[in-house]
Order: sequence, then structure tokens, then C-alpha cells
Amino acid sequence: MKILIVDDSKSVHRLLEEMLDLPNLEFQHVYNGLEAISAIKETNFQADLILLDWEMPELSGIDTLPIIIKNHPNQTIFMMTTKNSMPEITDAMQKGAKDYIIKPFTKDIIIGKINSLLEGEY
Amino acid sequence: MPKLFCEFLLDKKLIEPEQLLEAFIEHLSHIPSTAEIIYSLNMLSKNDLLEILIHQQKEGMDFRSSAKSLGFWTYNFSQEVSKKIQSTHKPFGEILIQKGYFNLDSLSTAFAHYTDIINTLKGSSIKEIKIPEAHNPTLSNEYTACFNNNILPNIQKIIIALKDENISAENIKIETRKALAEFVAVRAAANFLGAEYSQKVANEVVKYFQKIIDNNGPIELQKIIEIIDLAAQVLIHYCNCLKNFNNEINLDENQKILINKFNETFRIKG
Repeated sequence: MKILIVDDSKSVHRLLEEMLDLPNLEFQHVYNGLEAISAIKETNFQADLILLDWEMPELSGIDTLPIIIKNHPNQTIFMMTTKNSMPEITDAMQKGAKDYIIKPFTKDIIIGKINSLLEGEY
Repeated sequence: MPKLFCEFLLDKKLIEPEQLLEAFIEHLSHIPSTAEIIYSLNMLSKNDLLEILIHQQKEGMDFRSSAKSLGFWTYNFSQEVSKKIQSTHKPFGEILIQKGYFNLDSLSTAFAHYTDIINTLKGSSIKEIKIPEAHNPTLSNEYTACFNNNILPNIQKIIIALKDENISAENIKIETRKALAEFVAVRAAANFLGAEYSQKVANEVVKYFQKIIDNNGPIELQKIIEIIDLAAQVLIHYCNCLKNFNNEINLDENQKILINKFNETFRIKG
């Protein structure tokens, strides 16, 4: 399973790799929305899952989301956010995200989401 | 013995040893000396404090030893001073953020991971989740407003578009995707509230539509309209129940019949 991590904070990338220390997981790292779009467009890395941070410099996650979905409507994207508000979260789902992860997240939560994805829950 | 948070940061290579050292030095520079604390908080008279400092200079000892040898440093006094020092120093996390080694997000995520590990070490198992008999009223209101004012009108628009006699195969797919996104939104909102039954209904519909989209085969238009319509009705009942009773349990017989129909359609037990 290939996971594209999109977050401007390098320590979040390290933590996610650490938490998701499972066999058969492959990661690619980018640090803002623009990089995510070009990574999807220009590299051969076809992500099974994109973990997309909501707030980032250059191009935020919530603005990146519809751009990715427009070109790749089947792409599974989980938003990572500190926005603990129902209207904002539903807005992201309506724009095409499949789920959300509230920061700070624990290993149990992130593993639970990945397992659900592997079990075809999404 | 469990590791300290700073040791965890080093282990996980979330911070370089040089950076941690710099943060420690900065942290220490914000800790006032014992004499400063005692002076600023008037914990001793000026004469007593002066006596301790002169004795310290004469004997070439540290402040605490000097205070101890003069009989000022009792156990309670020591506790009081430690408490004051704790309350005045700058939090270590604040220094890590100020120095740019972390932002609030990444530090709190790291801390969540750290506590996760500590809890595992303590042998605490995952706590059983209890379904609430009543939900958080503010969140319930948010959910009903979100569902009625935002999601439901979109679902109705999708049904109207799908019922158009001249709808093309391409547009059926587009509308099915839109429906999928709306039910994903219901699932997320219901999950947020802890509305288990609404979440379950939305989840079944999401899985159903996702399967149709993934298979990329022919789409049974009538079946899709029926599913959206049935699921929307069930969700409306649950939503009204949340609005009126702040739970998903107080349903009347007719509503239960409809829910059973939905469960039979998706072969849901119970």
C-alpha cells in the first residue's frame, strides 16, 4: 500500500512513518499542496491513500483536495486537521475526502483508519 | 522506567541532540535562582536573606546549603520554593516551538504518540466505547442543522438530476459520485457526534456506491435512486429523533418499519 503524506511539518512525517511501521507500506513525502499535485501528476507513485494536512503554506490541504479529486475522483484522501468542527469536516467530505483525522492523533487512531481502508470500509 | 518526553523525541529522531541541548540551555536561563524567588515572593525577611547570602559568600557554598546550615531550609520551605520555581519557569514545549524545532501541531502529535506509548507500557488496554444515551446537545444541533440545511438539499438535487429522463450514462456516474460524497459527509458528521445508527446507515450506502464506482460496470439507475431515497428517509428519521430527543432510539412504529426495510435491503442484522 502506498501512502502520500502531505504536511508542512517534517516531524509529522516522521511520526506517521513511526506509527505506521507495518509491512507493505510505502511512503512518499511532500510538504504542501502544490508539491502534492505535482507528485501525483509527475511521478509514478500512485498513492492508495493521501494523508492531507488541512493548513499548509503555498496551497492549503482544503484547497488542494478538490483539485486532486477533479483529476482523480477515485483517490482516497484523509484530511488531517486540528479543526474540530462538524461543518468544516463535512465540507471536506463533500469536497471528496473519505475521512478525517483530528490532530493530535494517536497510533490507535491512525492504525484503525488504515485497517478500515485495507478492509474495504471506504 | 518510562522514558521522558525529551528522550522519546531523541529516540524517534524528531529532534537533534544539539537542538535539544540548546532548548535545555534556554530553558535553564528562564529558571530564576532560588535567592531571586525567595526575594521576589518575600518568603524570608530581607535581613534573613542577606544573612544567608553573606554566609554563602564566606563559606563558598551554594545558596541552599547556606540556608540549611543557618536553619532556614526546612522541608516545607524547600517544597514551597520548588513549587514557586515550577510555576514561574517557561514551559519546555514553548521553547521547542519558539526555536522552530516544532510547531504546535507537530509537537502535540508527538506528545500524543508519546502518551500512547506510555499508556501501553503501563498496560492500559483500549477503553471500551460506550454508546451515549443522550448526545452532546450542541453537537446534536450542529448535526441536525448540517444535515437539514446542507446535506439533505444536496441529496434531493441529486435525486432530481438522476430522475431526469435524458440523463446520460456519464452524468449518472457524476451524480453517483456526488451522492457518495454526501453520504461520506453524513458518516463523518454522525461519527463526530457519536450517532452510531446514522453513521451505520451512511456507511452502508458509502460502501454500496463505492463498490459500484470501483466496478466501473453498468449502473442500475432505478436501484441507485431507490437506495438514495430510502437511506435519506431513514437518516431524516434519525435526525428528527436527535432533534426532538437527542438520541436515535425514540422512533415510532412506522419509522421502525422503514429502518427494517433499509436493514433488509443491506442485509443488516439487528
